[in-house]
Amino acid sequence: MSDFRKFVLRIGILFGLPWFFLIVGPVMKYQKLAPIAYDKDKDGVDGQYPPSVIHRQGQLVYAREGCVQCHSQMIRSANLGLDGWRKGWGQEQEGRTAEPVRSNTLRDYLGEPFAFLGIQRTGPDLANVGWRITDRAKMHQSFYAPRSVNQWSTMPSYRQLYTVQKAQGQKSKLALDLPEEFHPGKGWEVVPTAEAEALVDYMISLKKDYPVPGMAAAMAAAAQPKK
Amino acid sequence: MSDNPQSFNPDTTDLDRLHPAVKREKADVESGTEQAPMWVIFLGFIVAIIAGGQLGPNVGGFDFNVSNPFASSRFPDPRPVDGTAGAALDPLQMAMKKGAATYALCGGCHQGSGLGVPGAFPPLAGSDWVMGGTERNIRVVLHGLQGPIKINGADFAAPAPMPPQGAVLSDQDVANVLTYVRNNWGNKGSLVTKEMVAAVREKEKARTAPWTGPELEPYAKAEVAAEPAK
Amino acid sequence: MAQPAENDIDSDSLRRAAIDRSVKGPVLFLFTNAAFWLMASTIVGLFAAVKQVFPDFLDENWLWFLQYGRIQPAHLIALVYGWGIPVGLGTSLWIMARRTGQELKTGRSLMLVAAIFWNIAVTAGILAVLFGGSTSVEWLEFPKFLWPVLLICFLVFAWPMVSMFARARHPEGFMISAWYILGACIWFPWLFTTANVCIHCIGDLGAIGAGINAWYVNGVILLFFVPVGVGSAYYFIPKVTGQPIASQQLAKIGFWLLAALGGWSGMQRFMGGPLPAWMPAFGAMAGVLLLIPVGVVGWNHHLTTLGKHKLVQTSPSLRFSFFGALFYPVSGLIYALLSAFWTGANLQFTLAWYGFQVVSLYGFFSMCMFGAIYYIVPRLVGCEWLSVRLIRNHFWFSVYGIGAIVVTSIICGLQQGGDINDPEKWNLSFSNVVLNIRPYIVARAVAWGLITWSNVWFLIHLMLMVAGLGRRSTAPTLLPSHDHDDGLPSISHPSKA
Repeated sequence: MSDFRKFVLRIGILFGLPWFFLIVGPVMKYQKLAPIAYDKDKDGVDGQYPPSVIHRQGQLVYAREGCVQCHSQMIRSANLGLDGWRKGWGQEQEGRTAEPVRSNTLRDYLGEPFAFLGIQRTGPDLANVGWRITDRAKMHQSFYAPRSVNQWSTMPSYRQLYTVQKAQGQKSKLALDLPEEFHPGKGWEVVPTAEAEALVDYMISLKKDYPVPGMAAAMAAAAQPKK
Repeated sequence: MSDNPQSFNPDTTDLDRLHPAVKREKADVESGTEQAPMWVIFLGFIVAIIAGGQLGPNVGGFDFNVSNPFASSRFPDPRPVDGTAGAALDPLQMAMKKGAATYALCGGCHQGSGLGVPGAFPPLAGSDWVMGGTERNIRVVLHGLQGPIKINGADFAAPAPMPPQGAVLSDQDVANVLTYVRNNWGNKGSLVTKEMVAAVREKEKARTAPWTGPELEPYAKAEVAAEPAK
Repeated sequence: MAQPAENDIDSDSLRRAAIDRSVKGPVLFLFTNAAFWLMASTIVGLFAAVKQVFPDFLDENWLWFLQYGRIQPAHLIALVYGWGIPVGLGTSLWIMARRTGQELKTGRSLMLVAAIFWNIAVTAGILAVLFGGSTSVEWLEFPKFLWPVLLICFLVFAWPMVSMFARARHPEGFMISAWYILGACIWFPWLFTTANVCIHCIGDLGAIGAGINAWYVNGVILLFFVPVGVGSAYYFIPKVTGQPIASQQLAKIGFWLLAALGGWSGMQRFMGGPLPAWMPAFGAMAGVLLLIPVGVVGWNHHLTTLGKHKLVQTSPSLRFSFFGALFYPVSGLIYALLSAFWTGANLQFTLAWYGFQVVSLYGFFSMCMFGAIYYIVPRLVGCEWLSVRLIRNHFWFSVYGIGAIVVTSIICGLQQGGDINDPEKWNLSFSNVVLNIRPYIVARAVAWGLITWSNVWFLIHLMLMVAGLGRRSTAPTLLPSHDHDDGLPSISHPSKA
């Protein structure tokens, strides 16, 4: 075999190995991944894991606006970062939890065409942001005028997702309540477009801290003193 | 000066123009065949050991279904705790911390020192209004204030109107910032809770215009009934 | 090329000049286009940094396409696909032709067409990202249908290079540069195709898709930009200094270790996350192990330039290549810090990763490419660089800019990571994170401003050369050996180069 062919073969094998083990293999395995059913007695809940899928239309808007540049969507393991211990990054929004929010697993993103795990954290993590959103109008307000909610925020103001329309007599049910400096003016109101609603639906669908089957049992077992 | 090679005609060609730069290039020299020095190999081994340390338990048994090998481990809570173990952070401390951050909204006028600007923005440090009734304080923050007022005996004849913060701040935020203001800069006040703020907000929900000094007189010494914090 | 006898020097030079002429069209076209894209990318990078700190700047209703989430990907697409790959291909083509001693006989017009289509595709991609078609897949944000166009255009350039290597009958000197370039020609299409097929064609891969994305980004850096940069440094440093490469053995170790490790690395970007644990763990291991080839190559270059520091001062080509080669270990060290679990966990999701991308793309790769361009272009246009001042401005402002970015990214990363992971602040809002990184983002904007300024001079200079307006001279344009003495006339050393 000529030197050239040997060279190319060597390169092919050296790169082919990680290509096969990191890409091809996992892709094939992932496609066989299916939801797992919960065991009502052991896990305390019914149904399957993961219980719900994210709102896909809204995820398209999320991709289009480039939210992934500043927001992550994964809670890291407690040995690597403070993620799980941070207030409001899980279901509990007000108090202090005894256990950290669990780190995310592969199945948490089952059903998503692409998981936007995030490039940087200029803003808080959004893996469980669905629990933070109690008021849709407030969420719309923070998209339309982020600095009216958090003065220090550097989030872009996504006004292109909203329509400023003339107020027709009674205030429209969907119109946003804005403080004066962000308000378009007397006689006008700001109404979300379908895309803004889809984006909020997507955000509300982001809840990734439901129990993992068998985890409760595993943690109880781990807590037992070793014999 | 370009050479006149025999196989090309005397007219300037690209090759003639390119030639001089190429001609002055240094010839390639065969590269060195020395052995790599020992210390390079040694350093390499050290790096390899550090690299190997990335594996170990992190590998999770090469199981495709294991994303976090430490998922069932219990990690000690790194967060600071005040008081007995298991108790929530002291509400006053928490309110002071959060209120300090929220105060950034107010500092623009009332200044970081809480002294305000004489004639324009009333002081909060040592202010009789701040140390007075919570009914009045909460109303001022929620709906704003305008018109001449008297703080600590001094007249603020034409102060700038204070914008309402009720739409921008949640009940918890208002409670935090009022607690902060009432307990900072030597003020010795009390805790304001979100239930107190919510009660006032509910009572005054029809109010849209900012308050004036005379309107707030009845509330000057009134305290909102504080419900026990949960 | 073996040591030529007296008479052979002329025919040898003529042969090399013929090779130069054969690749002139495609290489100059690629360089010119790339230089414009570099300009665009640095300006957008500056703007993006400003927008991250002052989002209300230029925030009119009709300027919604200038939001950070859109212009940041546009900036990186322009840097990677507009500047990085074309300039890499241009340099590789010239080096491969010279190293294998073969002229590019056919396919020139096809290459020009491919370069034009590449430009169209990149432009379309950036416009799509700005106006609402972004896929938000890092470095692959352009719409789905564009990737086959880019792949085919790349292969139009890669294929002739591979066949030149195959046909080389007399390995001209030590072929390490050619190895690296051949590697890059094989690795990039493989990476690109795999990532696009998995994410866009197979699709529905959830978190695995994100892992493949991270693998792709790091793969392009490690297995395209690094090989082309290192290959270029391995060609020009010995060429200009006249010294041999210090150690063949070190060079081989450096190459094969990179080839072995490059593909394993990348997924440690998402350590602690949803990917199957062993994948980021292997990525972390590879990231740390990469210190070995990086260090070995750096040491080799250091030995090669020992005692030749006067030449580093005077030759523009050597100055840029040397500086670039110096940045290779720096970027490797940063990568190791980002990859190892202990240090990387704190730097995860911070500016440090962007800093690494910029340091390897600009600090290392681009500086090596500038060195190559300063050497190659006079040999293609038949005239010398016009102005020492332009070269000096280009060099120093680039150095200041890239130095600023390295320092601010790492420190910002530490600050950001510290704030995000600080247990004392567990129940505070993100305000302290946002406010604390502000000065570093401003510094990032300033750094890109410096780099933009340096590239203004480079672009002007390159345009003048391509237009044939360079100096007609047989002596090369050299920088004076004591640089900041602006008062003294520039000293051109006698033609030793």
